[in-house]
Amino acid sequence: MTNPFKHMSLRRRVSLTVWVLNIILCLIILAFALR
Amino acid sequence: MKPLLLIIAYLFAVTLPLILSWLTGAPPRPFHQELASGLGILAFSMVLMEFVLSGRFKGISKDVGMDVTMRFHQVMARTALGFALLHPFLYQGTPSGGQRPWDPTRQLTITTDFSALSTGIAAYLLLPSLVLLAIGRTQLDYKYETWRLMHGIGALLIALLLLHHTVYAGRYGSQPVMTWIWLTMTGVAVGSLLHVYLLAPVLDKAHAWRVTSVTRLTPKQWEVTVKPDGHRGLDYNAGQFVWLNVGHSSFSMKENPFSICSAPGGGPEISFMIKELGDFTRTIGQIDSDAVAYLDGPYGNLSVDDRTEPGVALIAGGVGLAPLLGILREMRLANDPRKVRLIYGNRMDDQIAYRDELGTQDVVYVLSEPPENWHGETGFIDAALIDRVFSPKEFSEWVFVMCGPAIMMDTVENHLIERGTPSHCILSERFDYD
Repeated sequence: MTNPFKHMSLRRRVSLTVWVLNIILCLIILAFALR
Repeated sequence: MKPLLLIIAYLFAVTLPLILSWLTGAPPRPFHQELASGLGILAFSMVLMEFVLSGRFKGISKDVGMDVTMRFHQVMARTALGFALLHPFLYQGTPSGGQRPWDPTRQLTITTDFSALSTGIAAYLLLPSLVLLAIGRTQLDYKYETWRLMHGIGALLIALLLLHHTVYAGRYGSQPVMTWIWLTMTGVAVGSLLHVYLLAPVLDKAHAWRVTSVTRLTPKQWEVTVKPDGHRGLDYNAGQFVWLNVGHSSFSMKENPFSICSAPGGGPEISFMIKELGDFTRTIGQIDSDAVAYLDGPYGNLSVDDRTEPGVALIAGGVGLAPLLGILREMRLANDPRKVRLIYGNRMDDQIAYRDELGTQDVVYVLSEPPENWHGETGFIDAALIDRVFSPKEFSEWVFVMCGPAIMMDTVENHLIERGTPSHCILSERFDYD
């Protein structure tokens, strides 16, 4: 399977990484609040 | 630090206080109140992590690049701001107004103690100001050094205010283990700031440099050369940059990032190609020969030293030539067996720097406003030009290094990816990411 990150501009890679990271952080806060 | 490792380390560091708060086993409260605490805890740890993402730590920015580190710093600051702004509003309906007999450790009530809340309110007002001033920095009419000083002091103040607020008003932060965690994390953050502004300048004092020449290259571009003053010099790779401070104390905020355009193999002297753009660069011509200078670096990952590709494509726009010239000079000095081709774009003929040294072999000059007798390429460095200069084989096998205006970098990078160049074969560094 080809890695889509290998054919993506740096700007898009950074943007995608930050989005994923922010979603993970939101999920962690939700998990904390729902425990 | 490798990108994936950096992200995992970041996630671990920012969520550590939240996870430890979770493990303290405090009695449960309604969802929205826990959400408020969670947002506050995460916002504070993210604010503290911003200090080490300030771009001045080589271990962090070495592999991902300074520009990506700074972009990460900018975006995560906005996320932290969002979390922080939501934090107080979700405490609606929480019992307040003093200690209840049934809640002696104040686990289920929120404090109304003014000193504990006032530091939170002060930080609440300061944090948006700090972020908005940073976002609008280029539009606001004050000096870069002034902004840096304000940004550093503001960040320090916010960290200390938040520490007080978290420890004295926080349900979790007031527990001894969490108080120690917050003290340690704030200590590391503040320590990183002190390292950059106090310790590094002290160390720099023993590694002063002297200006040996200031030469006008074109009407608005200069070459500044410095030599080590009683030390061995700088261990750097062609294509890297340093923070340069000329004519001021090593503690001065008057330092700016400039790419090194000399080659490491050329000796200990270091040259910078500098364009008149801002407060400092407009005064380059007034620098005295023999003026003292301090260099902090090297930074940046724009290096082809360890690359195994058979060819190196250098694509420069204007003063973006500086790091690529360093790479070209090093390759020529070392008789590097790899093929090399430079595309060098400018607006006008008199803006072309180092024309004699660059020569015409394997160099493609591009002018957007050429004179009548111009024989080189015309227009901008765009997809059509890139297609004319490189073959399909070169697109897939060479490493492409570029530096220049953001629009040029975006155009070239998107086109290279379209032509099948793997993203790890495209190296770029930009000082202005937005």
